[in-house]
Amino acid sequence: MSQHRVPLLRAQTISKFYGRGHQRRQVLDQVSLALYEGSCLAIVGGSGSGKSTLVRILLGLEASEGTVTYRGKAVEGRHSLGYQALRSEAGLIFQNPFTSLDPRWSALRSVSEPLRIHAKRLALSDEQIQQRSLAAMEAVGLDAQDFAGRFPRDCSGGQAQRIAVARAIVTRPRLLLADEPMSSLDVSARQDLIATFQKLRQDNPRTALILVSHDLGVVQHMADRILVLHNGRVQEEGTTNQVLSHPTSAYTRALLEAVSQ
Amino acid sequence: MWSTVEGRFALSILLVWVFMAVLSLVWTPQPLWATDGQQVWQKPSHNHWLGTDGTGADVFSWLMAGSATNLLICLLTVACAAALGILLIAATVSRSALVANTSIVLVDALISIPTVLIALILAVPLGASVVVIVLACGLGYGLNLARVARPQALLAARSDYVIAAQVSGASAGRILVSHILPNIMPVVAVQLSLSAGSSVLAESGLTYLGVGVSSGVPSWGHSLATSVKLINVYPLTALWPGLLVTLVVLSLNLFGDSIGDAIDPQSNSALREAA
Repeated sequence: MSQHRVPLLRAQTISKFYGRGHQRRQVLDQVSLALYEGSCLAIVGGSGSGKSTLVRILLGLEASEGTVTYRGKAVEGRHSLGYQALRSEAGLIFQNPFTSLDPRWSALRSVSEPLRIHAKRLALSDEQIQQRSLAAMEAVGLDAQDFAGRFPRDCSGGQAQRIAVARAIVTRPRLLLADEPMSSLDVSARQDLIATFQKLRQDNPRTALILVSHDLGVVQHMADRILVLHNGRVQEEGTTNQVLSHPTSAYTRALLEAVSQ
Repeated sequence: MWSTVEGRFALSILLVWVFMAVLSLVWTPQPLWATDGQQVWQKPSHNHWLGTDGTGADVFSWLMAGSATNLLICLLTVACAAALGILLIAATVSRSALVANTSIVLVDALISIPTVLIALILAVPLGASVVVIVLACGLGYGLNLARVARPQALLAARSDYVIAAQVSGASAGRILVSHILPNIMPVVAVQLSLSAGSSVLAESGLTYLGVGVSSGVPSWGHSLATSVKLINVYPLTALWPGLLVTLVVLSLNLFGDSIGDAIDPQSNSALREAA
């Protein structure tokens, strides 16, 4: 990956504190990262390492110290150019598909909502929105006709997560963030979703992906680079091969040992 | 809603109420102001279906005309409460911490003021009128709605599906209308139906205290207030309006429960199948 290009998303010296006074605690400490078009960066770490907080900061959903830029434009506040660009070009996938889908909405309505939000800007008719939504559902391996009218409670975890993925990709985003998308799924559904992500990356080679996970097995199948977080600090960062074959930090080695056991 | 016994019962009573209210605008069995000093406190008869009151006026006709006043008060109160409650809920889930915290403190502070006290204060400049009941109850029930729906509104506002909508670029207004309000609607519907029932009770109470419907305007509270003083002598005239108020309040409460279930796809499989 050329380091001379402008990264799609860049975070520099991100620090985040929660609480005040003597209850003030640091959850992120000087975290920096860069993500380029078409690449997949995995953010790996245990529970409480600050992974999800970092994702929220990258999306401009939480304030922090440090800077986040998207396409070279600062993401600071709702009116910044970077924030506005992110809103029209990013998709987010959550850990729990059932809490990430509105329980009152059918699958088709959930999937089509991002298109409806941008319908005016994209000059999309209702028919085009429906067609693109059904196509997104097919792209993630769902029988669109069967699932269009289903509500989240009528789906399995794997099916609901696919609906959530379809919603995230329906606008053909340039940036996808997946926050532990497979941790609530069984092994079979996990395998299917990994295959779905791999197909999506093949079909959309310019889309960049940030995959947050504590599962190194999943990460090695998908990521080009890995950033290891522990207690809010970057332990190491490198290509997937480097980090998994020659870990430099004790924490990464412990993670790898835990997987091998 | 029609599929349950409670729903059918509530809807039937409420439909009869609305029918009587509308009909009373053009027809009553006896003229409202036809009094007869020779026929006071009469028992139910062919001419006076529910008897007569202390002035000899027809009780059924007054109750029928009162149903229109009570329906008007009920609808206006619910509209006021809904408008104020939803405005406060929108402020509570605002992205601005200042707006959210101010609305929470405001609701918690004002909710401690009794509706009766608000009505008494309003009656000073406005006098006894329907407006006093509507404003006092609308304010009280609106605050109550905001307080009761707050936990669910905050839960919805902090949910992953709202974050997903934010990431997709949805505006705060769109999120409120598309996600938050529909997800708290079962609570809002139940609360507003309780408020509707309470407004009927409040009308009776406030009219009895002299700050509700002004004298000469037919209402169930007015009928109760004029007959309750002689309840030991002639209990039937107090029984009829009391029975009406009880039936309508019960129906409004049952209606709220039924509508809450009917509009929630999680409890209504027919809604899910229709999607």
